[in-house]
Amino acid sequence: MTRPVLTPARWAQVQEVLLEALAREGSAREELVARACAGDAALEADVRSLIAAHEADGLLSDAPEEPSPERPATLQWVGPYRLLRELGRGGMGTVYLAERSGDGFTQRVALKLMRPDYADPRVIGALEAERRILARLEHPGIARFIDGGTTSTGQPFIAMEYVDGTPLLQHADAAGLDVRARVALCMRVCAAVQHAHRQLVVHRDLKPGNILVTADGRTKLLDFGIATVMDDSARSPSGESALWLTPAYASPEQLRRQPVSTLTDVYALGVILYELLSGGSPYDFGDGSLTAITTAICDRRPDPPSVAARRAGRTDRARAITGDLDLVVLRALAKQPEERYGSVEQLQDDLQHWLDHLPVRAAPDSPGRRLRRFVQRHRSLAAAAAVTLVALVAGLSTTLWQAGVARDERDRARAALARSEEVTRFLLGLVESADPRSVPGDTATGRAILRVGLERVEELRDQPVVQADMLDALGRVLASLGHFDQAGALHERALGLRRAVLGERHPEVAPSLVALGRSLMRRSRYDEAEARYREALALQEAAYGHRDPRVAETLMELAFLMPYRGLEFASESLYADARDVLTGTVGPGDRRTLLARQKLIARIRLRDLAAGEAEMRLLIADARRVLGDDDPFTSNCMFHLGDYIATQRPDDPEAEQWYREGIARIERRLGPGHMDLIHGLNSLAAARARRGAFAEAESLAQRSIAVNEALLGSGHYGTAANMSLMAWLYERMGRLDQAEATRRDALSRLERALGEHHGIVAEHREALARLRYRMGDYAEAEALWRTAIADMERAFGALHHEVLRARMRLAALLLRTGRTEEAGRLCAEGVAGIERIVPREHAIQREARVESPHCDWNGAGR
Amino acid sequence: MSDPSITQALVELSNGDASAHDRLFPLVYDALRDLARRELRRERPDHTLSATALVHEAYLKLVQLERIDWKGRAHFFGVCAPVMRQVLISHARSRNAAKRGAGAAKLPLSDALAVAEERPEELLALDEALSRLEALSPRQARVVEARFFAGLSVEETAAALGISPATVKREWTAARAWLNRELAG
Repeated sequence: MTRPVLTPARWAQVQEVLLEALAREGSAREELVARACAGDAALEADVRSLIAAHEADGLLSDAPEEPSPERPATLQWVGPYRLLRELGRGGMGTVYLAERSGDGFTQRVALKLMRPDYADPRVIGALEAERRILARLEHPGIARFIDGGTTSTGQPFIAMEYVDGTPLLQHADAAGLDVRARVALCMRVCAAVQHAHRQLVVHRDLKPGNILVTADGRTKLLDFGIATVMDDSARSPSGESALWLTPAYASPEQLRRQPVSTLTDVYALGVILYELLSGGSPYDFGDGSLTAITTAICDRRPDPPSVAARRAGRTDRARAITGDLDLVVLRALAKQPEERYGSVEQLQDDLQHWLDHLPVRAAPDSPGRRLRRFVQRHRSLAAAAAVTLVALVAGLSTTLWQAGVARDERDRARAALARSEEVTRFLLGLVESADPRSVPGDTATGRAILRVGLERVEELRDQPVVQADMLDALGRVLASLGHFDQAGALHERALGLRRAVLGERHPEVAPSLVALGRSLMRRSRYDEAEARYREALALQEAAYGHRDPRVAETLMELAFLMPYRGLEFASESLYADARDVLTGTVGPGDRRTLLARQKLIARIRLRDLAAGEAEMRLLIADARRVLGDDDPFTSNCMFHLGDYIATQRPDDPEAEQWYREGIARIERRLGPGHMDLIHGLNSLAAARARRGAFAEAESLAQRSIAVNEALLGSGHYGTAANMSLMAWLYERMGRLDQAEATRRDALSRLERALGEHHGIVAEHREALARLRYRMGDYAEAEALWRTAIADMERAFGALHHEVLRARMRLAALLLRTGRTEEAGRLCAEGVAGIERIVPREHAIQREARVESPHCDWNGAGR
Repeated sequence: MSDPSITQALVELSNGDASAHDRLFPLVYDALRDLARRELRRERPDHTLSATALVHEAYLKLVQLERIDWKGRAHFFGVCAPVMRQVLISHARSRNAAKRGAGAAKLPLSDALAVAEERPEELLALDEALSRLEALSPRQARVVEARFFAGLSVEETAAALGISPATVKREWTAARAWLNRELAG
């Protein structure tokens, strides 16, 4: 059929009639068409053919998706989902069963539609940002997040995997589960929560109503992370989260509006376990008002579950909940987060121990009790065990807080002593229950046990791999006390043993290589240290592949070494690699991953302070969420952030706030004399000194040194090195004589501890040289400089930026005393060397330019 | 995996820089083409991916969500519409060449992806008809691109094109009728 050629104007006319016609039916439609097309036969033909085309089943079908005007109250479609029936209502909105159809498939989801008053741009924005995180939660025990968005009326919705199941408590009762089965059920929930924690997602609203059990007995967590979204978007300017939770299941910190962390979920699991076991809530909520609930949860201690069960008339259940299980539940329910289990995994472990009739960690006197029991059974092994225990404990607290090391030690102990299951369990229990406030190696007791250990380790001759573990552990203790040569000797022995027993290519040789490398590094033998690290790396990669957490940890050792070799950027790449491997293996919520990020940021900020600051803020937020505000790692990050702020904006009071907060938290958590305080105290001292508050700065520095002396002894190189802060302070105060005395004292102690020509000794010697120059004694300054530079060249290499900078500083003196030619040479080589290594904005070059303006920098102009 | 340059262009577009649109097109094109290709290659009996899902997936993958507000999102979907059309037409052409002579299934398909795969010759015919509709009403062509090729909802189409949902419905009704008639006749 031929039609007149349509023009845009004509088409507009046709359309109008068409739409009017389609808005009517039957005779009304006929009437309109006749009227509108009066006389124009072509128009009428067009319109009629289009009406027919509209009705036909063509390529472009008209899927209904918005509520038609006649039924505005009934919401049938949300995005691509058709609502089938209501499943339930909650405080946040309503949950529907919905389905989405496509070609050949139907997908059913549980669609949660938020209340209309939640259509806030911040909420929607937060929902979208969380979507990526939630999409990563792929675990059989978690109802999968499928989709999210907003309806045409602006209501946010979330579509999740539809779970057909019974709520947890009802299932347990209906299936007639006994106590052991209930514990096992709870453990399945724990596994899902732990998985989420590793992905940095905290639930915050765990309760029995949120957990369904399917027909095949699988537990499924619902509503994961939604509470996270709500909190972030409802945060008030001061950072407090809005009270978004179910009061009866809330943790004390939530009710007090304090920040939440993974430990909040631990508490919730405690409540769930309590209810599973005793049949009732841990608390009596009185009149049910918010005040009554808050008082009950924050101040009242719950009765043990066995007591509650007995009171409820369930006597056989009360009998089955033996003493230890009570302790486990109560520990999870501790009011202070830090008194609970440190992680869901630890709770799971204890539950497993209870099921296996083994001692639980929650028992307060367990180290002593179990020690007695164990010694009775294995006299000879007990001696070895005791030494390993001390070595591990000592190693944990004297070296710089390497949070990941704790697990590392545990894993090594586990692997090496696997021959005896009982020994392993016993040791793990002792190590994990070790109070972080425990005294490190350099005390009378520590030294005595160390001596005993060195004697007893010889008795392990017939268990070479165990002996090797012990030797490495003892070596680490010795290294932390500053006895690097002795430590190195033990590590060499351990290495030899492992190679002999396991073979040269066995990956478990790697830890000894790394330990040896570390002790070589401490002795300024950087080339040899690198060789060991790379050997270890090769062994591990050959056995485990690149994507393995053990490989990542070795990469980090190598990364730590690189700056000593002058390879700044290699360090950054290595840390980044380690972080990526850890993120992909143990997850972003693992302590080791967070540590890798921290170290990476410390490198980044050298070339980009602003980026470092931003990244560190993000890291602190994540650490707070996963580890808790009071974790020493979080406090350590705060010190770093304070440093970055102080470097960029010396007058910004925020830096000091961070220092003070970090210090306060470590004091609360670990006591006033802990090693981790030193960074904070030193940084705060420097900050106060820059503001002219010298008295306070001096007292802070004295306290820092006192901590060092108490923990490491006055002969330790760490104590001596810390004295340079004091000297710097005196210099700033203009008390040059006192500064000189302090530096000389520190120098002689360092020489005694490390040897006259050690790299670190040389650095301090050079610092004294600068002071003497400032004081006008050019002769001595020059002598000190030349000695120091020679030693630094030997230790770091002649092209290392520290060496070059020292030479440029010497050049200033040479210029002053008329040796212009040599001065010129030192300057030229220094500038060329540094400009080649780092770009201009990098901290190294920036600082070098400031301290050596007498040199001819590119672009400086003379 | 999100692409900072795409996000940046969206931000600039939101701030009124119209030229950002030109930069956006090739970037999104490459990404959507790869995503679509991956989906279309899968030999799965339940072809679970639709144009809608593809575009939404692209949004999640390509855009740094925390930097984009609802306007930026609308812009992104707006770009996806013509891009999807090009991607699917190009796919249909290659499918058509391969399938010459094979009998096509006679089921009514409403999803552009499925049509491109199963009945490419129809999609090509639609494309050609759409070009003719464009001469009559450019806005209706845009609406069809958005609703059919990108699978956007009425509300999303409205936001992307800057018109009211009621207008979208009217345009869609008219365009649909006209196209159906062209394809049937």
